[in-house]
Amino acid sequence: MKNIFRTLGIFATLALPLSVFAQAIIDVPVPGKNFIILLAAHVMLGLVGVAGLYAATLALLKKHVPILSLRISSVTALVSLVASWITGGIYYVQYYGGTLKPVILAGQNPIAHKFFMEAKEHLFLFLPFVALVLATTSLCVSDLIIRNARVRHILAGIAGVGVLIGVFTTLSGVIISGAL
Amino acid sequence: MDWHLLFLAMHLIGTVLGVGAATFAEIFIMKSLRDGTIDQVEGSFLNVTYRVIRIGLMLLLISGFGFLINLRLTGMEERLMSPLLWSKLSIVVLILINAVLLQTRKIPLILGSAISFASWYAAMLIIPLRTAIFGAKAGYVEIMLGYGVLVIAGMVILALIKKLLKVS
Repeated sequence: MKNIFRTLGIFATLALPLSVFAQAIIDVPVPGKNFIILLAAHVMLGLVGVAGLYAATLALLKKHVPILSLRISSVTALVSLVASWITGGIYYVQYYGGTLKPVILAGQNPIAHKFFMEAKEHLFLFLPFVALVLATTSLCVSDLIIRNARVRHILAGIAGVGVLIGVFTTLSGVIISGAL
Repeated sequence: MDWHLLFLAMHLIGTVLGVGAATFAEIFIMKSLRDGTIDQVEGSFLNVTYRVIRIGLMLLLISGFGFLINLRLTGMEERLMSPLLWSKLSIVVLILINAVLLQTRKIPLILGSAISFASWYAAMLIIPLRTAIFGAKAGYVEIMLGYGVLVIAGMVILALIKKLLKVS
């Protein structure tokens, strides 16, 4: 119990500065035409992040949890998803919103923005925090994960939901780009 | 730097590793299960093989999305909505779901590995098969039906081979 409260404390301490930091960076102006790099980085980092969540899910579903690979995959997911959040945020605020959104809304598939982008941009925000839960628990209470099957199953469920959200946001991104 | 060439090389290596390892996983399972159990050595071979499949899948995903970014940045966005692309994406999602079902033992090893085996071959052969069977203008439903037939055919063939080899 003490370990769980300790982990929740670390999670709460990290979650707020993380979101403030990400939002602050998003407003920094991008010089030149670096939006191409931002888009590519957003997609690739997001993909690595979802792969990390998927690897963490598989690790948590094993009878003997490989703690080292769980830590590596969850920390990789956390770092990649935060970086994807920042690059995607800058791309949206400084380029997509003003230049591409009107084109999609006036095109043949406005649903790509009205539904898929609206859903994606909100659902995506869960992902760094799902990864943060996995990273803090695997780093701070790994003994509990190894001993307690119930904790393992709950974490596997959280990671699995993260993968589902990740797959949805990834496929939504393809639909949004396809609507241009 | 020629990004297209880099992604093409990654895609080919990923396909070779994935299809090759899925084939060997099936061979190892058949060989291992002849005595009804998978011992430690056989298990370690299977683990390595599954790791190679995951590496192949990761290379395929990264290079595949590299191609998609390339399409977006070269003004060929309409190809992002092609039924062929969405069929491939669907098959990859099915491979991922199958791996989770295998891990949680919600699906028998023999069935799950057969689905994995057939799905990898389907993902590799989807373009020539679509053209040969349906013509170049096949829709998503037709392609996925073709994939379903290929998976069932693969499972039947593997079941027959296992029966011939008396795998329990």
